[in-house]
Amino acid sequence: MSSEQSTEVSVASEGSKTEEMQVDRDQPETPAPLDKDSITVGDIRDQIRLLERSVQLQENRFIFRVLRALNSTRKRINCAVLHKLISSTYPTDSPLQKELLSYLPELMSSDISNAQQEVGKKAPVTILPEVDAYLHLLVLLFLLDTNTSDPHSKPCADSLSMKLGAHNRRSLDMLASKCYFYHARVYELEGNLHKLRGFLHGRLRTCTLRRDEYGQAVLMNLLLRNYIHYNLFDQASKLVSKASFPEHASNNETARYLFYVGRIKATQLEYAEAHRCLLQAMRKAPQNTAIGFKQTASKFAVVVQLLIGEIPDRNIFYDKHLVRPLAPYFQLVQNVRTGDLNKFSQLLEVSKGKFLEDRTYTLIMRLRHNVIKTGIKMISMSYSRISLEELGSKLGLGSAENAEFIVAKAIRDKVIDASIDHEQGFMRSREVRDIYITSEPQTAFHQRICFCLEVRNEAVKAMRFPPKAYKQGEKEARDFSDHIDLVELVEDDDDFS
Amino acid sequence: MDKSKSICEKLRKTWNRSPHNLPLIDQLLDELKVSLLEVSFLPTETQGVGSEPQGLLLAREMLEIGAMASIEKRDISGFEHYMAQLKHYYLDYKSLLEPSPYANQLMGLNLLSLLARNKLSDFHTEIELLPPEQLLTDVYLCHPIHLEQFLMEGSYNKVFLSRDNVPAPYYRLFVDILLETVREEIVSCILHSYSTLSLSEARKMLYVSDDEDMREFGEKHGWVLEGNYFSFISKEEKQGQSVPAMEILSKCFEYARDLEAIV
Repeated sequence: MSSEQSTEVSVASEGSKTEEMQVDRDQPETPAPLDKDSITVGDIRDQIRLLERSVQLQENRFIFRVLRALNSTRKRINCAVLHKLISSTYPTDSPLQKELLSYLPELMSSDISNAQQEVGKKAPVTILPEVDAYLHLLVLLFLLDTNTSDPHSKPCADSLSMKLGAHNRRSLDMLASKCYFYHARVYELEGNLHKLRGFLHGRLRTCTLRRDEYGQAVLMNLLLRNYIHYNLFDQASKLVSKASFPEHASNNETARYLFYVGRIKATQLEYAEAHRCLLQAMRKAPQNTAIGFKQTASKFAVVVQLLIGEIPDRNIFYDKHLVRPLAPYFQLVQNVRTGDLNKFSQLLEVSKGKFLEDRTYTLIMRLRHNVIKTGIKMISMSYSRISLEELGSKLGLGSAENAEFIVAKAIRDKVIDASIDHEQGFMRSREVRDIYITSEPQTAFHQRICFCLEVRNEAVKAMRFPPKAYKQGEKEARDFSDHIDLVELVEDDDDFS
Repeated sequence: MDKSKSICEKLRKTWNRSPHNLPLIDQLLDELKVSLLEVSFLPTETQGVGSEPQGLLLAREMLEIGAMASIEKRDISGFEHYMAQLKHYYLDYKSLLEPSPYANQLMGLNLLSLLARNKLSDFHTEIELLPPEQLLTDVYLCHPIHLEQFLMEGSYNKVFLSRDNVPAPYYRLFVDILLETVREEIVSCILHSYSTLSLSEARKMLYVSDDEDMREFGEKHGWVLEGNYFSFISKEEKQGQSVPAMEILSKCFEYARDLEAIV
């Protein structure tokens, strides 16, 4: 039944499309850019048809396709296209139409006539909320792209979100989540993010109650971004602990979420967890695009890894997109690795602006004692006995007394294996023991095995099985095994084993 | 509003007189809180804040006095309570109110109180909220930040020295709490890194005033005094090496089960 309907719709729509093409061809005097416009209009109409079909079939696939094309559509829209679309898609003189047109700048006179031609041709009676939202979103994107501080963009975004709130349709979920994203974007460009918090929280609640996972994922990320923008890590971490992030969220949203969680954990000194999150975020991010995201995430990942006490892999600094932005971090790694406190302070002075901009400065300030630790470690490895005074001056720690305390703490924290002789004022390193008689290798292997197992389990979870085919297969398998049993009973032995 | 103003005026006068009459101040604080509730105490966005910054200023001043008074009473949870409220005035209404002269001092105290109670994760979360350009230049803020650095790297002697140059007298309460913690830290460091230590040296390291106290301190921690030397023999050396059989077994079982699940 429904498939019949859809074919009807698609046939009808194709009919109208060819008609339109003919109209275009009949006007050879129109200049080239307009031609391009009409192609765009046609394409967007296709998208709208997809939307309509997906509503009819209750199939999210089509909406997904529309949204995937959103980026390329976004690049092609312009004022004339939108005027044309809006005047032809909405019922004539409906308040929705008027509202959208009011956001757009006035058209040139020639364009107006063109648009009016379209209006005369068809006047649909109603409009689906999905189509309405889609067009509204396109208008918003257009406003954002032409002028980031357009005074219209805020009321436009507000009314779009109001509209979405009035409906309770599952087919709208995916579109709505996109709309929320750009709504927040408008506020961010204006620097008014904090005003949106209440709204976002309300919507998150609604989405959670309706089990709208798309909305939930996007709204969670928007809220986290909002909090972290103002450095409100306390609130952000409470949100993360109280609200759950949907399991089946898209990869991009999950990557964002992991990145935010990683930053929160890093602030709260849970470096191992933070590092895990940041790494996963980078893995989940799209491979070839999202360069900016990867750059930012790897900056944090490098600093966090240093804070754990590990030295990041050299390879990541050679990636062609990361070489330049990560340059100060590369120096940082080198300074931490050599344990030179003076150079570290110098670098902190020189690159302070850069680090502040990246918001990693406070994290990097915490690295100071890691630098000292590595310094002590190196000295303990290369000297079997060294006077504390000498050690202090080598590492720039000041007096021998100070150095003594620092070394004592390093010994307690098991950074080095040594003892201090206070009377004579020196530190004596113990013989390096053979690491293979300890349980060190065992734990290292254990970590790797656990990691592999987890990768495997994740992979199994991520695989998708078509629900029907699976059941069918099971049934067949059962039939088949019944069959085997019978055969076995009859033939009693051989061949089958 | 007028009533609140008059109470606030009274409170200010009582506060400026030294020595502080704490019970009276407490009583005035409570009165003021009640009367401010009717005007604008912790306003929300919907109520519209812009119209009466006067009330906000009064409330802020009251909370500031309350916070400092609770330090004088050595009431840390009370101080925490006041700070939680004050933070709204310092951070959320930053654009509405002119900055308070006490803001940085109280924020610094807040940092120090977190540090003294070893709430390091909260400490770092707080730091993120403060403007980074002030972190290392402001006298009040850089004091706790430097202390944290000393603690992390182990320069415990500098922590002891910092007791004498606190930026404000209120800092002393928390620094004293911190010093107790630091002493315990030093004890555990000594246990690990020395085999013997003379009585007088131990006294110097732990900043204990005389030998008798030091002996007591050592006894409390179960240190053995031989002649004039404490001797520490680490427990690890006493214990023989043993094979962690149970651990290895349980891991092996785990692997076997996982393998089973895959194959």
